[in-house]
Amino acid sequence: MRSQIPRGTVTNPNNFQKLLVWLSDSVEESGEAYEALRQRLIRIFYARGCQTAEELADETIDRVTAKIESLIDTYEGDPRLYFYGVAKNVFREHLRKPVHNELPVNLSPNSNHSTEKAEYQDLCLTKCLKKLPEMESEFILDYYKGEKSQKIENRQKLMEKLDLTPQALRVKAFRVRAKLQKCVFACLEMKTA
Amino acid sequence: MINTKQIRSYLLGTLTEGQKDLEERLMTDDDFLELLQAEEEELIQDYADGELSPEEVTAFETHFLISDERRQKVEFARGFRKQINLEVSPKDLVNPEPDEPKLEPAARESVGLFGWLLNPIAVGAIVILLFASLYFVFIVGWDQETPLEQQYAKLNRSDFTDLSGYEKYTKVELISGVSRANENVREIDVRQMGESLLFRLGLPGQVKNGELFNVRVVQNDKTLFSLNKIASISNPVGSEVRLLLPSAVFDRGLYEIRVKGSDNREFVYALFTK
Repeated sequence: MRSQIPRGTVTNPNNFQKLLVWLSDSVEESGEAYEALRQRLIRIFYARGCQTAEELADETIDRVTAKIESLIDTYEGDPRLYFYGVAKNVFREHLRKPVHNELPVNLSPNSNHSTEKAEYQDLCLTKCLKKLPEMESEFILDYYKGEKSQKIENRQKLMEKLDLTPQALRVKAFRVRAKLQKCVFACLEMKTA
Repeated sequence: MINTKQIRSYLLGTLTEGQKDLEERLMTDDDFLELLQAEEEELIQDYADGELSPEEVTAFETHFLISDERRQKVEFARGFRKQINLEVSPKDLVNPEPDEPKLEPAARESVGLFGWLLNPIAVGAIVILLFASLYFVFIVGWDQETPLEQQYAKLNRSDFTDLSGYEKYTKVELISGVSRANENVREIDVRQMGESLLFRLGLPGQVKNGELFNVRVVQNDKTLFSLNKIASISNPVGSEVRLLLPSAVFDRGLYEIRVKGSDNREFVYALFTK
């Protein structure tokens, strides 16, 4: 993952500050808005089948950053839709470029996942599940417990118990899972460091 | 209105219409971004659990699984499923007890401290329990894990999806259903065994990835070694149970490896050691 500051700001560092202000009126929220914007662009490029989604998202941000002064004065509407328009152009150009992707050393998705790493991940998972507040660890285990019909039944019970819509339940599970995942990945990084 | 099915199709690259609407909403709606991220995680977990259709698996592997971050998330999902299955209490592994019959309030009041003595079912159950306890203590012996079983239970918590790190082990591949009279009984030489044997036991029929099985090594109807909660693994032609067993369990003769699922289905594998 690249650094937070777009490449285009190297020549004019003020542009990045202007971009942040353009994205959000609140100084505190502008960094978050920038990161969310980058995540949106990455997801769009991935969904369109681009392996270099992160690079393309950064290219999109760089192009907008380069034009930021004139955009602030002239553009009307949600700035994020402007980024979307530029992203579509970046994508079209990407399609025209010849592809020279090197094949990975191992084609199997499991091949680089050593037993040792799996064992360590198990330890990290156990540790991180214990770190979660009890209500959250119980919730996430209940949410994923069972298979197919049993899982659906469990989730129905959870919706009733917590008085949530299916979407709200899904998002709640995502938030707890994201917390758990962050803890596990940090734990795995400590092992490799 | 965009539903989760459309989001899933979008992520898998199979959405036929509405892409522009979906992407514009993704760009501008914070809640929608979170919902899409949630759907990504659901998709990854469903893939790891073997719950996607064959078409979805193809789309997932060719279209979705194109970054290291996503591949790492699949590994997380596999480990997480294993963890969830381990968290399932033993009572969830057997058929759940039927609900306690509900008594009317008046009936509840009439049942005192020794009221159960009036209930022939309760008395019968206690007598059966008493005899069963005596049988286990004096005839069978308590089913407690030996230190070796504890050691191998820990060893078998490893992820066996990739066997490249297990070359040093003697591999024994078996299919169920062969009997003593069957010529296909696998024979192995005890002198060629290492400390541990890596068993690959093919499972017939539809078995989900991560389904839990209890495994016993049996000779002459006597259980010599047992391991619980061994998770099945999907392979290109179906599924199997992979596990390490100590060669010390096997001497010479015919052995059965009995693999029992949570629904009480049992698969039997025969092995002859010489």
